[in-house]
Amino acid sequence: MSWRLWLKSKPKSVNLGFYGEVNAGKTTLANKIGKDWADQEVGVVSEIPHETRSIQKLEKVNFAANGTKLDLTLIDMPGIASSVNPKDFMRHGLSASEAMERAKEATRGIVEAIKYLENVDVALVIVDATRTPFDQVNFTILGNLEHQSKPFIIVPNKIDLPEADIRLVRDAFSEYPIVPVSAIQGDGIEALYDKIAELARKMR
Amino acid sequence: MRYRVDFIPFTETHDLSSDEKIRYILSKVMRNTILILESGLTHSEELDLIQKTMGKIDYKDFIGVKLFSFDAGDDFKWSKLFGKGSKNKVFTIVAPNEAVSVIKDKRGILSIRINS
Repeated sequence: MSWRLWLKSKPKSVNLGFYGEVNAGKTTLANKIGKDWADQEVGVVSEIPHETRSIQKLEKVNFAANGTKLDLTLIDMPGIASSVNPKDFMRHGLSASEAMERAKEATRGIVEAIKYLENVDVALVIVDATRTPFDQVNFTILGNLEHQSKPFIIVPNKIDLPEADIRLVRDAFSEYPIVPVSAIQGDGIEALYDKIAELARKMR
Repeated sequence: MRYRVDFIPFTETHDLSSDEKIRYILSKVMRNTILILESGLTHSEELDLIQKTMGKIDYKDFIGVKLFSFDAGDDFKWSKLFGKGSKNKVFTIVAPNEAVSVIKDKRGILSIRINS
């Protein structure tokens, strides 16, 4: 086999970044993709905000959809927020010192996630479909991805819950590609895989 | 806590670099001022503001900001707030996190509730 043919048949390497607000379900979705394609999870899921406080990676994820093979690195980012309040963690039962430690780590994680944006090839922007999607963080992330010409998909998550309102998300982000999912139940996941493959094919 | 609301006209910030603008915003917001900036932030400036805010949080007196940018559209008469010369369409509101609740409802109406 010539090196050109070999290069053509080699799966494309893609850094797939999971961005979004705190508690939107980024890690749950990263775990679902990790389990489906590499039989491994990326991180720990928790009800307490800012469970992911440093970037978590799962490398060598052999992904294939619609005839496109990819060598994915799943990069689960800390949730981006414009404030961090230790009292929010204490409401979940953490002691004052645990809450303070978590807050400091969360603050560092937010900066880390922002700085890592330039290393991402394709981004999934996860939105909690049960909340109003107008948090400025979502628009800030999308604006920066557009500015840096990074392909992205908006992923309204938690569509299995009765309070999910996908129409509201579609109205808010009408000009962008949207694939609703339930990361926990797997609903919509095949459509998401097709879209990831489509964007990766267009990637240089 | 008492908060002050400052309407910052374009002329106040247009000569500042992005770095200077963010420093200016943070210095005011950290002194319990809610800012309505006629010269709205770009998305890249917003991300920079979030990043620099993280460096200022002390977890006691300052836990971060609330941020909201919006496109006022062609119909909105901002000249009533900022004078007849106002041509800018994207405005940004930055406030101490605990000072306001900002809600945009399904009809696109922006409500800002100032906490006491």
